[in-house]
Amino acid sequence: MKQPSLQMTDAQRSSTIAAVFCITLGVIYCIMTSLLPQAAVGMPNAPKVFPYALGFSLTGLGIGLLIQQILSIRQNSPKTEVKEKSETVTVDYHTKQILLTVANGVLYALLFKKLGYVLSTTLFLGLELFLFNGKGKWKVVLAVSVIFSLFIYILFNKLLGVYLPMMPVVGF
Amino acid sequence: MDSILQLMHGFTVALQPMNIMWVTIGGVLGTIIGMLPGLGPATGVAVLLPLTFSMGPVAALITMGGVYYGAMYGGSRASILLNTPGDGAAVAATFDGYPMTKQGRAEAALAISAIASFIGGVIATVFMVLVSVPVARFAIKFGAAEYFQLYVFALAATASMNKGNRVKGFIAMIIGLMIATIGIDAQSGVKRFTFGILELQSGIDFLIVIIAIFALGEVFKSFKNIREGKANIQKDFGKIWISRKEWKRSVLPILRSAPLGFFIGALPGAGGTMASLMSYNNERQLSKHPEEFGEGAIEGLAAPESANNAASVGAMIPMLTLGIPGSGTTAVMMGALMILGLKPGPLLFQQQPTIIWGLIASMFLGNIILAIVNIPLAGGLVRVLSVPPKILYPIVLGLSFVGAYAISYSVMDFYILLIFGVLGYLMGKAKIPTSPLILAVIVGNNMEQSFRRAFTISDGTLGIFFSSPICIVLFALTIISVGYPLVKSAILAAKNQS
Amino acid sequence: MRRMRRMSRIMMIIAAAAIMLTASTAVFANGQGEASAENYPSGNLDFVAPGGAGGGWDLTIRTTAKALKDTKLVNVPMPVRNNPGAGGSVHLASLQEMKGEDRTITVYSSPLLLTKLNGTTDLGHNDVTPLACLIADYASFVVAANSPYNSMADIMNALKNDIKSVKIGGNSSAGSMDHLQFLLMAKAAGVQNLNQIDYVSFDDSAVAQVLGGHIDLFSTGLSEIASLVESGDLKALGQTAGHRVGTGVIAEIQTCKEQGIDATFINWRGIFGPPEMPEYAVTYWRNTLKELVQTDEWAQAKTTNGWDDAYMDAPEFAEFLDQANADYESILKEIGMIK
Repeated sequence: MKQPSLQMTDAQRSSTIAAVFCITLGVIYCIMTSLLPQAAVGMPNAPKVFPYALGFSLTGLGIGLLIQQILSIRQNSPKTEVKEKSETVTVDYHTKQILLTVANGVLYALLFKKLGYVLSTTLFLGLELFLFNGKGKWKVVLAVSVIFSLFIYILFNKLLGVYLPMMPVVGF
Repeated sequence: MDSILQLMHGFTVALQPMNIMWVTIGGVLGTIIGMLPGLGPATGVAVLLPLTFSMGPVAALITMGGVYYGAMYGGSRASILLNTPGDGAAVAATFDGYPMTKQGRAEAALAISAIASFIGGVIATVFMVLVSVPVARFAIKFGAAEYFQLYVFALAATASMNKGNRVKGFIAMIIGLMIATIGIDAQSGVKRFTFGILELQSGIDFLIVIIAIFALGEVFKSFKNIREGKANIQKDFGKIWISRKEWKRSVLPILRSAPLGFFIGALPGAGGTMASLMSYNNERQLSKHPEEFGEGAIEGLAAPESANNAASVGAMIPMLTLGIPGSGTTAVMMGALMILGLKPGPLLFQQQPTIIWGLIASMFLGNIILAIVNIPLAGGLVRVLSVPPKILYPIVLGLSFVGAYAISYSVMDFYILLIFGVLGYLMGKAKIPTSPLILAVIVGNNMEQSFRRAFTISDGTLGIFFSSPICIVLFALTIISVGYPLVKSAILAAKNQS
Repeated sequence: MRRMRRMSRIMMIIAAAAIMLTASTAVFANGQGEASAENYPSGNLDFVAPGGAGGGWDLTIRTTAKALKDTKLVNVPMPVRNNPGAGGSVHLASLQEMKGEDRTITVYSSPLLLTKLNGTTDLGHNDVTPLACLIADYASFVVAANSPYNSMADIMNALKNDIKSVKIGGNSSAGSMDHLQFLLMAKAAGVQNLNQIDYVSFDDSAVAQVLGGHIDLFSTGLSEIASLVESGDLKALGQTAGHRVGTGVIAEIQTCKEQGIDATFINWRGIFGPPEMPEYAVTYWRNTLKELVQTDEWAQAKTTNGWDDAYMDAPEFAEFLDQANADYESILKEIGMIK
């Protein structure tokens, strides 16, 4: 490969990754489709036709996107790359925040039924507010998360009849 | 003229003070419920069921009607202000409504949404009085092949409206269709892509995907802006109203979208989501400045708002005239009617004219009251934007999770929410549009199933897809909606070269 | 006079609201159901429809709760919640976490058996406690008013001549109730190659499809088509009870048995408790439900909804479930949906 083709703008990089992702997903999806059982009624392969079409289309579109990106990278002018680099630091911060939010969400899902709505939500919201605000404002964080959980719980359980899980033992 | 007389009688029913009170209470409650993500009109009506049991059938039906329209009004509030649609019908309101909010035009957005909903609702109610029976008779002409063509048309129009890279629009659409294949295949009973998870057997609810991609995606996107203090807090709020210029731009789209929404709503199974998305596509293609769509074009908000309210009126038609629930919400209402001792069906108009015409009259009334209530209500709601994003965004997350739980009572949906939230964020980064994915998730399963229904019914001949005038018209519309942008850009390119 | 009625209506609503509020406080007081034999039931009960709002299960459990309240047979609050998913299997799974509890009351019908048979779940009728069968609906087969078919025999003969000639539509997915009930009749009528019959599953819009002439025959529940048969838009060819059911046009529909097809299909709906429900609670519900089915309120609810009486006490009901399960299994084996 020529030297310029390795340097790409942020947009090109993410598009290329997306293209590779699509190709991979398309292939995996096709393999999974081939493993589906046959239908007992009607035509045996009827449930597979549409998924196959989707799998092949996605693979094809992924290849198309990849070619598009390779062509545009070749035409790259070196000027566009300079300013992109400064952003990498914040992107890392950003990714970290997202991963932490996802982890917090998983924790929430695990505790939701065990702790009941009010406790688990206070915890989830508290952690999330902390992620956004940092250590300084713990009073605000605490107040918002407790009030929100109680408010929603009462609104849903008492007024709307949409039952959220209760806390064990205490029954709230 | 007979129906006009009966409508007059209906008004005497609806205008009784108690019934006015019920429609107001229903409307306000509905608006509040509709604003919560995941809680749409269907949940709203279901939640209030126990309350309506203690009323007479007329009052019960009128209250439920109020809740229904209220929830439709409320659903778009959250779309406009927080990019968090409460239900499918409110998705299209995010396309231009949220950009307007970002530009500091939330007041105009909220105002046009109320005005468009009002006009759409009233026009649809007039249609209901005049043409409900012929429309119901026409709607049953839609067989599997016609539905397939309709879904293809809606999908093709949305996928091809992507401004930037057309390949990416289609990628989003295919991924959406893949999501829609998860679950039990109704035609064969085969389980597809469920990974042995019980909750996945009935498929992934499109509302979860919508909440994930819009609300979570928005929060994920915002981390950087918030840290750098770029996220803006709105401090000054104007009056909830629109300028003369904005009105001029919106009036035709509102008037055009109402009949479209009314008719799509009357098709069993199509509903408000399809209606609003189709009217959005429609206006975008008719517009003189399509490039403004998605950047805060007021007509891009006015059209779907008018259409989805008209659709909620249209959805009553199959229920009242044929006893077929046209949507999730009308299914709940039908259940309620049966508990109250009424039999929805073709004879309802003859057997219970007081109830039916009272309901229709209360639709007029409900729309007027909701418009009156909503404009001052919006004045208070808009102040949500003065909450600092550092506090507001975590709350949006909290609302998203509780909304997801309310849809299916399952924690499994939390994981699905997180997965699609990340997907939505990554799609944004790769500049892949999300709206084709959303629509594909909504119509994907129906589209495949309709195709296979038609294929079975015709013993495997493809001719059925072109066997009726409806099919051919829809197919032509598909060709136009895909071809027109291509031709237009080709002409533009030719002009630029010369 | 009118004002009086209005006033009483307001009072009722205020009362209902008050009940709802006190009810929800009561649940906090003894939410964990430490109730015992003497004071059962106390606190809130937990009525669950394993399907979405507006469906058949939802309607049944809400009607039951309303009748229990109206007749004052049960004087504690009975809030109804929905726990939908996978044809009721999601709720079935969550019931397993409530082993031995006494507050949760659920409705189920034929899909309780079918979901286990078609492999959706490993749980079946042995993983819940049957309390009583309340009502039955039956299958009915309807065609458009202008259809050339006028009897079940017409349909079966057409199928015997050309197995692809009649397109059957229903709302449930292939291998589920609407499909199965027709196959049971076709089998009894002597139709061969049952798995070759074209069955088209529509989400919930199959009525519109048969009205529009897109499918030939709609296989559904008897109670669902009453208004369209009455108005003359649909023609009912037969129903699957052992006797004539209901009143008016419904009572005029011939049974399949009368037409020489020796088979019946009952879509029973019964009330169930969680697995290993305590003895005192089982006794309480058996007695209460037995009383309920004899009240006028219940009779009224049955007429309105077109439900047929099918009351069975718990022991009889359990036997019935075993028998029905065996019937379904044999037909599903025959069409190859289970190996």
